[in-house]
Amino acid sequence: MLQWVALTGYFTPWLYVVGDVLSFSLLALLLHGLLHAIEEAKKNAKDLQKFKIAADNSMDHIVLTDPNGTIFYANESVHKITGFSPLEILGETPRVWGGIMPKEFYQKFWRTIKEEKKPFVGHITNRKKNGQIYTAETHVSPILDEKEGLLGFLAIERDITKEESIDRAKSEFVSLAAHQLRTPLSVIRWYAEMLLNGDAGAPNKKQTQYLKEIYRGDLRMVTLVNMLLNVSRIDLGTFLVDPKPTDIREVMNEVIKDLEKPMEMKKIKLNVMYADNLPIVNLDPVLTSVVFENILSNAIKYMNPGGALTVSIKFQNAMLLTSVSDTGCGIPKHQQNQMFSKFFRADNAKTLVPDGNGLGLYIVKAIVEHSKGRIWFESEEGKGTTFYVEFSKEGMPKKEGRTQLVGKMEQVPV
Amino acid sequence: MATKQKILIVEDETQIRKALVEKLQAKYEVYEAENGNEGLKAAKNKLPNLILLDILMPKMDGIEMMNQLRASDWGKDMKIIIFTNLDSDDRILGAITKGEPAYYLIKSNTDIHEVEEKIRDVLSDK
Repeated sequence: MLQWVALTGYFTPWLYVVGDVLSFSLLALLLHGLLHAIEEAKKNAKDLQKFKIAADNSMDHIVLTDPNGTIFYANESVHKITGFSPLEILGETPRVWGGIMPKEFYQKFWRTIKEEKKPFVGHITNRKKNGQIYTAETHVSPILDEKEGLLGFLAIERDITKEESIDRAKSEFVSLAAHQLRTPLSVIRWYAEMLLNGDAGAPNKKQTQYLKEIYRGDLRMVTLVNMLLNVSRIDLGTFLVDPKPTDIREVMNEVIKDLEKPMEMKKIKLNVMYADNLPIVNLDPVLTSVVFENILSNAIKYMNPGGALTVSIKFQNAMLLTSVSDTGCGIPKHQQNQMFSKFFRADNAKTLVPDGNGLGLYIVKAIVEHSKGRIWFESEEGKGTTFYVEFSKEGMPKKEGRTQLVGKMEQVPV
Repeated sequence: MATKQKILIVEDETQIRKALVEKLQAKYEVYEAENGNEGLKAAKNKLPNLILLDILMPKMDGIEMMNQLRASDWGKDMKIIIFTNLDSDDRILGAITKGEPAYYLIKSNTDIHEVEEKIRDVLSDK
């Protein structure tokens, strides 16, 4: 017994020492953990500070909101761009400088970021504190936690007023230049024509051949100039839409008549089907004719001799639907989504018809969409293409503008 | 031999004017003017059967010349073909709707033989 006491007595101080060491180690560990956490927090705070410096100094306007759109952070650029001070913004929603877009825009906006929880990208028109209107490109992203719950929104806006004014200047330049080109193009055309006609003596075979090349080259330029003028008027929004009660069959018949010669030369088999119930609709005949002329002339151009062209106009579900089918080279699947882009031409089209300018469908799509219509196509490479143009019974809305678009854009050599 | 009908060409671009004269002088008696002022003087002097009228001209444009022509008793019934590169903008649409005959050709989109045919048609009242 005494030996145990002695033994414990012997070990007790060691226990104290071990205890101290243990407690000290624990303490050390705790301290270390704490210091590490503090270091982490400091580092995070430094990172956060770095991000805050970046956000504060960004030239784009950056705003963080809660899920209801209430702003709890706005960088300096928000003040610089909108004119509102942080005090006027914090606790408010972006309606402070917005709210002037049509209702449908905001509906789509909230549906995208709140219901679908997807980022929204678009152009928005806002109003500064001094009343000045400006256009911005906006990116709004929902901030989600791991469970896809909505924490808030990050909104970035960039003032694009300058970009837009540069675009305007470009379009105005194109319009001015194209207009100036018209005079010399007429001069060349007429003298080539008069020489071909023998007005200065009968030309020999070679002279006739060369003169025809000059004449055709000139017509290509005139077509391009007409199309550039139309493109610039579309981009500047200066073209007018003058709808009047129109028999769409008459417009189509005129276009078909204009394209008689090229159809004859290529021995194209034409089939025209007009439904019996086609109503008179308020359409701008010039614009409708530009649309039909372009679609039909494309169909003819991209067909081999002997091909078949089918034109049909139907009226169903209060919609006037025109379809134009060809048995031409078709549009490759991987290029179909670019067909309406400015200057775009599909590879097989470029091979078949080297001298196209790629502007026709851009013009046609702009006209149809301005007229509250729809345009689309179905196509298979090597088989053919069908274009569809749809107008509602209400027709085209009137639009004020400086000038009409050029009617017969394409100058077809006879 | 029947006397040739008289055509007055009012156009500021010299090359355009000269080309038209070249084409038309075989069949018509052709007179020229390079702006609205000169055009009015020539119209009063020569009393042409038809005027080929440009719009964009210095000193006096085609619309103004046409208005003054119509206001005069010697010019109010003169036949006019508007011949311009303007694509039917406000000025022309306004002029045409005032009851002017809608004889209107776009220079760069027209062959010169089409100009000749149009002149022939208008002169024979088609």
